[in-house]
Amino acid sequence: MKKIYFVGLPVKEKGIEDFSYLAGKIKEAKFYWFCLKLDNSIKNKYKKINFLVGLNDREMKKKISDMDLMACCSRFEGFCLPIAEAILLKKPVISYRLKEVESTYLNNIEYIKCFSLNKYVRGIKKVISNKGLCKDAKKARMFVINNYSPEVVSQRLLKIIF
Amino acid sequence: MNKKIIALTTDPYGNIHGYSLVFIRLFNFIQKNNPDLTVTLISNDGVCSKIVNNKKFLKIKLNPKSNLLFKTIFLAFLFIKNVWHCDKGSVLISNTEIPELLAAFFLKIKFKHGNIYCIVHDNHVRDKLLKTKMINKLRNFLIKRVNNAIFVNRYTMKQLDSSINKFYIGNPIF
Repeated sequence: MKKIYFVGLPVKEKGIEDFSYLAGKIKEAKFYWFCLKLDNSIKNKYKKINFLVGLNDREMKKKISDMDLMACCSRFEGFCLPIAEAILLKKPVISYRLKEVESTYLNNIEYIKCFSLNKYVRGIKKVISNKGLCKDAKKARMFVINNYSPEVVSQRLLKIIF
Repeated sequence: MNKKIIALTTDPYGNIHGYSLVFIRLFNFIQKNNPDLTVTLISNDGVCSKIVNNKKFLKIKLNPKSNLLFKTIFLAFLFIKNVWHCDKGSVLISNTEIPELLAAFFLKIKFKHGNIYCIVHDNHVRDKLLKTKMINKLRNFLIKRVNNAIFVNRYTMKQLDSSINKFYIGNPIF
């Protein structure tokens, strides 16, 4: 059984409804959602999702390294930090084609037409059955390191302000 | 002469917000890796500053249960009060919540125009509530007044009009 995950607040803007829909449609995988806090009402509403709550960074990395795919269903993002974290752990990522996400990660992740759940289901099925749609994890990791490492970004900032 | 940076951010109480955490981590990283720089980060005592836990950074104690409008104005006032006595040759960088943008706007009286920047993450209106739309309009107004905007993604950078000075840094991943 494949494992698919996302990290974030369990709210609509972060795509929890779509994630839950995917969990209902894709029986070949288990769906996990990492968050710091969780109300019982959310847990009861999205019963198809396995919530992993309140893990520290180390525990989370360990759990994520055991996952097969990150599915980001978020509808509003500035840059979506969990995508970069997934790439650094060499996990394949699928996301809606949000302009902010696309301009940040370019062709290093897989994109699904915005809010098309049927296409999302097909995309995930392709990845977990190893029939395509999977970027070069090493290349993606180098892209993130070369463009968004703290050293690179802080040097860019200091160059601007001094 | 020793270069000085003053960074201002709101730090949420309930949940971790990537924007605050990344901002605090970035200046924590800059401080630890640039001994020739003096970095002062000022925030309220929310969840992200607890994660980074840099004892040299200044945390303003607020009552998390206070009214949002009161917290916003009070935090802006405390930012201004804490920054006012600083060397006016310092570079001031604010995050893009209303308290720090308000403080940056008023601190233009004291600091040289070119020395105040804000870091902009995205420009979404996340729901249809009037309150959210008004906050977004106020945020855009203040970003324009601050006039020097540093962006973490190129798409948002293109969206804001070119009457302001725009710069790109990308988003640091820790």
